[in-house]
Amino acid sequence: MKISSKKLGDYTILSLSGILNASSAPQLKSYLEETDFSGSLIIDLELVDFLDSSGLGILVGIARRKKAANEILKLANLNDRVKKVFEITQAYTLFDIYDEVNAAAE
Amino acid sequence: MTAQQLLHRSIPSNQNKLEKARMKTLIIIRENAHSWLRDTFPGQHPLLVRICNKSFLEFLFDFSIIAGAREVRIVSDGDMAEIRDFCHDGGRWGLNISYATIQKSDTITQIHNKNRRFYADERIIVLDNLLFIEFNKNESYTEYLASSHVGMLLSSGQGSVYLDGADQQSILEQCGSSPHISIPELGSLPEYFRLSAEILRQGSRYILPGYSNEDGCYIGRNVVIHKGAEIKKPVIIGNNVQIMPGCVIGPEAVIGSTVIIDRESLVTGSIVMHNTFVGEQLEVKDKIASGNRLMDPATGASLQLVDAHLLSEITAEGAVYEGIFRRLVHVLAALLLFMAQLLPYLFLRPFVGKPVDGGTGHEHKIAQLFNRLSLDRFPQLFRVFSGSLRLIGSQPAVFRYAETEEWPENEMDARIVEQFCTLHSHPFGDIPLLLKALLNRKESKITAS
Amino acid sequence: MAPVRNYHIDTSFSSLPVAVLFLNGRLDASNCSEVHRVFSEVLRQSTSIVIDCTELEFLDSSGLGAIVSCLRKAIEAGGDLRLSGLSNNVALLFELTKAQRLFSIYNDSTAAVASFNPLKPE
Repeated sequence: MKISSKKLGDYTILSLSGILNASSAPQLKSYLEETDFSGSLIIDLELVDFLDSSGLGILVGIARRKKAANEILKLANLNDRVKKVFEITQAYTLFDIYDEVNAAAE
Repeated sequence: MTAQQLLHRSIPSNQNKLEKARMKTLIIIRENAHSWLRDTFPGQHPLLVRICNKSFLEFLFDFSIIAGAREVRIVSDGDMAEIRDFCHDGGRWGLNISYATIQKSDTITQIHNKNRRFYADERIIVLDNLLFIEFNKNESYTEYLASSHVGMLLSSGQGSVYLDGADQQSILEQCGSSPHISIPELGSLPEYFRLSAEILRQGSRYILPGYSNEDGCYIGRNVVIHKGAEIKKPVIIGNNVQIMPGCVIGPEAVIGSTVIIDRESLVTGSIVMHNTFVGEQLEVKDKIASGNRLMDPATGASLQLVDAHLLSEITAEGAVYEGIFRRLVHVLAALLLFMAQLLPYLFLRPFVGKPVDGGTGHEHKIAQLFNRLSLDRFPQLFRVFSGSLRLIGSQPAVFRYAETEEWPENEMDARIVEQFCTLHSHPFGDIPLLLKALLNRKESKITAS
Repeated sequence: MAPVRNYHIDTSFSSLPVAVLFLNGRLDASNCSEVHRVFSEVLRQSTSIVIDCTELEFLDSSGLGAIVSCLRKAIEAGGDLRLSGLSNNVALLFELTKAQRLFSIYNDSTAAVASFNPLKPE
């Protein structure tokens, strides 16, 4: 999977693309450890083709850490496949989900 | 499609401008609303409960179509799986439907922001927490809704109609006369019953399902009305319905789909919900029959009948085959596990008895090994053989789907994994998941039932 | 639980004793023979009978059948069987099956007993 990040106002935008599952999880984990992601974070999921329960686990983990640190996490740009996984697993109750990065960054 | 014809009926002055002023509909569903419907018609999403053989949601779609909004977004703070299964992309209604999720506490502004891309620069009709909206398909709504100011249009105790998005004042002159729109009070069974009768009586205001060659009489597909049965309008009958000889149906009867009314029974002033069998020589008068339940809106009485020959639910026999197949896979896998575990279990069991913390380090190690080999689940295998428990699945099961992952920390997390696995579940797919769960035992924080 | 709680003979009208029979709990196929047995016993003492259903919680079609056959026996003996205190749920079954047309139904047993008053023809 490809990971990139940039700054937009007060927010850090983390863009993920490709497959987010058990085998790509370590890559994302180490990226998160190496880079400073304190403060408000938006994860852009537009280009995520596939998300499984391990992938969800990483996102839930990030949400939990952000919440503990009293920081903001928003998800943006969920495509239909990813949206469906969030809906059916009811993981959406743990996240604020926006359909546009710019709206999330306001 | 009467609605389509209506849309194309031109309004000369603002016609060109209207084409620029496109509209969309945002339907907000709040999980905690309409709980009375969940209690009355369990097992169905409140918005999919039918009134006059059409779900509440479809009436909202009709309104959207009549208002000229072909793009619909449904947002909810709850489970939308059923709604998705029912609506898909909305092609059935000529709509383009998308979905989004919100949090329970979100305000209209937050919902607006979360759906910014959908809003674009367009006029949005927000149907917030609404079950039903009264309208008249013969009136024109497009111009009125496009030219009104942004803000609350209608509101009742339960829900509201709100205009949001771009103000079109600059391009449209305010439309003078307002067409009929109102939100009926709808918070109890008697109110549901009353509204149903009203819709039926004012059938021409709504688009009712079924074939109709005269006013007040709508009949669905594959309806067999036997000789000697009498139909009195207004009446609405769903699809796949059998009305046996000597029956009297109506006036003011709503018969759902997949319904059988047996010989010489009378149904009047009543609603027979879908999948209901009504036995012979009975009288259903001012009642609601749903499956084996008979309800009296006037007294609030609700009787669950045990006599299938009087009133019962017609159930489809589906998914049985896969169920049997899955059980076979589970029993075979459990058998293999049984053989592999039998000797270690018999050997180690005597050493593991008392609570672990009281024992010595040696005993503690044995207990750990015992759990790592999943020998603690060994006794439950017998319940798989007897068919009372699945080997792996959502709770209750010998191994939970949640145990295939390392990350779940609480029940909510466990449920996320279980839902994911259930969605992608396949009888054979359960075997790799079982292996994963077995290997994962040392890490697992989630406990099985 | 036995479907018949007890019964007594009301003698407010000296010329016409009225038997009042109280049902309670569930009346279904498993216990409706009890109703037949008690009813025959009651019928030997009086042919004007009231069945009080205030405490009857549930009735299925066999139970309903038992009550209807009691009515038949009462009429054959030259008397009548009247009902009282039907709960909304029990009344639903009477309405559905049209059994309510066969019976005179009263709010409570006092009214049902009074309806047998020989001095006040209905």
